[in-house]
Order: sequence, then structure tokens, then C-alpha cells
Amino acid sequence: MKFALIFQNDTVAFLPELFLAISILVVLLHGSFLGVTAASLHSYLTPSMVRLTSGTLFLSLLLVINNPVESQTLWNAIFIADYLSTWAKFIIFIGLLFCVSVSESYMFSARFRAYEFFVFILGIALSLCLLISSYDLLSIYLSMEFLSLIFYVLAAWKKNSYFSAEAGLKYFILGSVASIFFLFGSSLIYFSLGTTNLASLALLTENLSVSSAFIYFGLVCIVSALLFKLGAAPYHMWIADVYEGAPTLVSLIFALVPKVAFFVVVLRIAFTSFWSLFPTLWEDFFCICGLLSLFIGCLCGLGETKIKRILAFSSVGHVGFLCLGLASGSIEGIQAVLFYLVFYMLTAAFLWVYVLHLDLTSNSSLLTFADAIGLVRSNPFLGFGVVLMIFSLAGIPPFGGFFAKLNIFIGLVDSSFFIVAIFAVLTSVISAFYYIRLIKIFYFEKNNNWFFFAPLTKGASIVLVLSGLIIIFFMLSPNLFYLLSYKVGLGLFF
Amino acid sequence: MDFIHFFFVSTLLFVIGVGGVILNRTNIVVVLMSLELALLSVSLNFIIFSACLGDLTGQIFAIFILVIAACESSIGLAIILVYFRVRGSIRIDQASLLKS
Repeated sequence: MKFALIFQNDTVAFLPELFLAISILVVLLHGSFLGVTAASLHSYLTPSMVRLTSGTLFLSLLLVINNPVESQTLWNAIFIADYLSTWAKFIIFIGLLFCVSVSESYMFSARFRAYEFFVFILGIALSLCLLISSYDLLSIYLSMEFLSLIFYVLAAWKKNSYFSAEAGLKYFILGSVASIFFLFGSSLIYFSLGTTNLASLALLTENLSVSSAFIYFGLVCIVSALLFKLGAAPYHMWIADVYEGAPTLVSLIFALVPKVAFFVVVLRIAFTSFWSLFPTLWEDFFCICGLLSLFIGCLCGLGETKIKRILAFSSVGHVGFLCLGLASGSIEGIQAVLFYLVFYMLTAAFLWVYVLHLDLTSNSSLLTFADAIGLVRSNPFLGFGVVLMIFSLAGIPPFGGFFAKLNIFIGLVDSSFFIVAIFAVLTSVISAFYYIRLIKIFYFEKNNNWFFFAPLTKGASIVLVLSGLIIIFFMLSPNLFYLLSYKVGLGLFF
Repeated sequence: MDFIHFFFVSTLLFVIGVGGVILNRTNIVVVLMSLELALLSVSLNFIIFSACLGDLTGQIFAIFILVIAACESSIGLAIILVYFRVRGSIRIDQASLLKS
């Protein structure tokens, strides 16, 4: 009884995670009891699992919004609940709801009958929630592994495909090396400072005049591992292969949800606990990573002919922008990063749902540009939407993507990174070339065959309309996003 | 007693593990073994530092690393099994279908 009283507040603030953890078991039981009776039930199993999973995600979304605790550390300061974690959880729940709502038709057409996928989705939701509210190197590591183990399995999910097995294998080996580096780095931090708690580390490093090489090396290892999971540039070699080899539905999840959570962790490590090392370490580190990512994102994308690889390299470029936002080291930089994350997720949701739709109708296992030619003629409205989204990715003015990039540039110029900002603009121009080449292929390329596109399902069209409208009509009420991201960014500091 | 010598041992093990992953060009099972070696070297690292500092956190960390290492090796073996079923071999230098 006393034990329950001690952790009463923690339990209240931790309700969404507890609810998710219990509902994973319920969904698993539901799937296994329904799935074991007859193979014919599988056509009935997937829709029921979709409803159950999206209901669970929606309820946890409500629990997150109604969280009564404003800012508090939980469970012996291993986790934290604050504005940043609340809004980041909100964003990832929206992203996962997008994924679930497009999954039913894909699983039906691709003949995937595995109900475990939905259990994995709930597992991803739980691990991302834990990762976002982690406040200790141990809990960051554990939730990162929870997430990565699910991702390795999902990448190798299409058991009869060469590409999927190879993607899973590569992701597994490289991802494990990254998490080993995270561990090595945190052991060095533990050695030099004697604790792994982020708040205590912040207090210990506040007035650090002479810091040992152990701290620097450990931090470089830790943040490199996190940037590996994000796919920033020196650590980007897995991203194109995994995105291409994995089933498209899984690549959609890889592209949409984990970025927010990992950036929240990077923000907590760089801005909360090791803020005093900013001029000596973080500025240079994030600038180098950001510029390299921009460079690789724009150069490697130029020669690609496969759509999923292009999107992977474009995500490398966008992570480069996000790293530059971190490098500026001001509140404007944090605001720009949060803003960019939301807009990148919405744009990526639109484009990946479109690629998912292409994947259903094309016969080849690897999508090339040739598969996308017929879209504008068979579904002009969707084709126009895709073109607008690509404009937004390239950063053409009236759309959300332009304002996201503008914020990053403003943050950089405010912190007097003029040369970096000029370089970022130049690479953005180069990458605009391949985005616009994509549009040219969509609209002006002649094709001999007439293409057939299956009509969109209800879930897919809801996702497309929601994300598309927010990006296109962002201009009409920009204050909401600006004020919200500013408030969340301020919450990180105070 | 000078703890830095113990640290050299575990760092050497870590370098051997990571080097085994990077330099190995043929066998995936050897890669898996190198990953395990690196994980164990890190947990050794944590135990040494925990003894050095007189603090319990490092030992807790080491126990959790053991759990994660077991999960990771089982999932790795499962992925190798899937790969072997479709490709008929587990040579890592043949895993280059996605590059072209």
C-alpha cells in the first residue's frame, strides 16, 4: 500500500505508457485466439486488428493530451514528463495512426496475413513514448533497443524476398554496432562523471572548466549512435538500402515516426545535460554532420532512378537541415528543429502513402521512376498533390516546407553561421534539381503503356488530405505552429 | 590499485569486437560473435567503473546489457535464418543485391 502511495504521481503521469503496455498484451491475445482457429479467418482478422490498434493509439493520444502533470521527473528520475515529451508523443501517435490507417489495404493486396504487425506497431508506440520521456542514459539505451529490435524484425518481414532479408541483415548488423557505440560512450561518461542521470549530469557539467577527453569522446560516441539511428551523414550508409529493401509499409514507418523521438533525445542530451559544452563540442559537431548530410543528400540523390532510394537520400538531406538547426544553439534553433520535424513528417507521410499506392499497382519489386509516369493522367488530382508536396520538400515559397527551411536559416544567421547558411542554400538548390526532375518525369515523360491505378482507400485518402492540406494551406494560419513550437522549445530550457 | 589498466583490457576487447564486425568479409555468424564480444566488453567496462567509483549504477547497467545482448543475438540468429532460407548461404560478401 505504501509502495503504491510513493509512486502515485508517477503512475498518473505514466498512464499512456501503462495503458499501451497492457493493451499490447490484449491485442496479442486477440490476434492469437482469432488467428489460430482457421486460416480463412485471416481476411477477417486484419480489419479487426486495424480497428483495435487504431482505437488503442487514439485512446493513448487522449491520455497523453489529458496528462495532468506539467513538468516532473518520474520513477527515481529515470523518466520525465514535460511539454516537450507531451507534444512529441502527440506527434508520434498521429504518425502511427497514419501508418495504421493505410496498412489494411496494403496488407490485403500484398498478401501479408500477419497480425503480429499490429502488435509491433503498438510496441513501436510504447518504445517511442519511453524514448521521448527518457531522462537517464540507461532508459534511453533500453528504449532505443526496444525500438531497434522491433525495426530489425520488421525490415526482414517479407520472408520470401531477397531484398527484405538483406535489408534486415544490414540494418541489424549496423544498428547493433551503433548501439554498442552508445553503450561505450555512456560507460565513459559514467566513468568521468559518476552518474548516468541527465539532470545530475547537467548539474555536474554546469561550471566545468577543464573537461577530460573521456567526456568528449563519450559524448561523440553517444550522439553518433543517435545520429546513426536518424540517418545523418557520416552514418547514413544503411538508410538507402534499408528503405529500399524493406516492405514499403515498413519503410513508411521508418520514415515517419522515429525521427521525432531521436531528435528529442539529442535535444535533451545536447541542450539540457551538456549545455556547457556547446561552444567546444556541439557547434562544430552538428555543423559538420549537418553539412555532410546536406552534401550527401543532394549529391547521391542525383544519380538515383529508384523512388524509395530518392526519398531515403532526401531524408538524409532533411536530417542535415535539422542538425544545422541544432548547431545554431539558440531558442530559435530549437523552435526551427521542432517546426521542421512536424512539417517533414507530414510531407513524408503524403509522399510515402503515394509510394505505397504505387507499390500496390506495379509488378516490379523495386519501384523506379518509370512506374510513376502514368499517375497524372489516371488520377490528375492526386498527381497535382504529389507535385505540390515535392515543391514543398524542395522549399518553394507558399508551402510549409519553405517556412521550415526559412526558420533554420534564420536560426543560423542569428548565431552568425553565415558561411554555413550560404552552403546550406547552395545544396538546397542542387537538391531542388532532382525534386524538379521528378516532377518533369511525372508530367512530361511519354509512355507507351497505359497504366492502371487502383482507387485510394478511405484511410489512405484521409491521410493524404490531412497532411496535404496542412502543408499547402499553412500560410493561412501560421501562428499556431510557431507559438506551439516556441512554447515547447522554451520548456526545454526552463 | 590502478583501474586504468582494467580499462585498457576492456577497451582492447571492444576494439577487437568492433574490428571483427568491420573487417570480417565472409561469415555472418562471426559478425554476430564479434557483436557479442563488444557488448560483453562494454558490460565489463561498466562493472570496472562501478567498482572504481563505489557506485551501483554501473552494475545495474551491466545486468541490463546482458539481457539486451541475449535478445539481440536471438533476433540476429532469426534474421540470419531468414536470410539463409532465401539465399542459400550466409556469406556476407554476397549481400549486395540492393547496391546495384
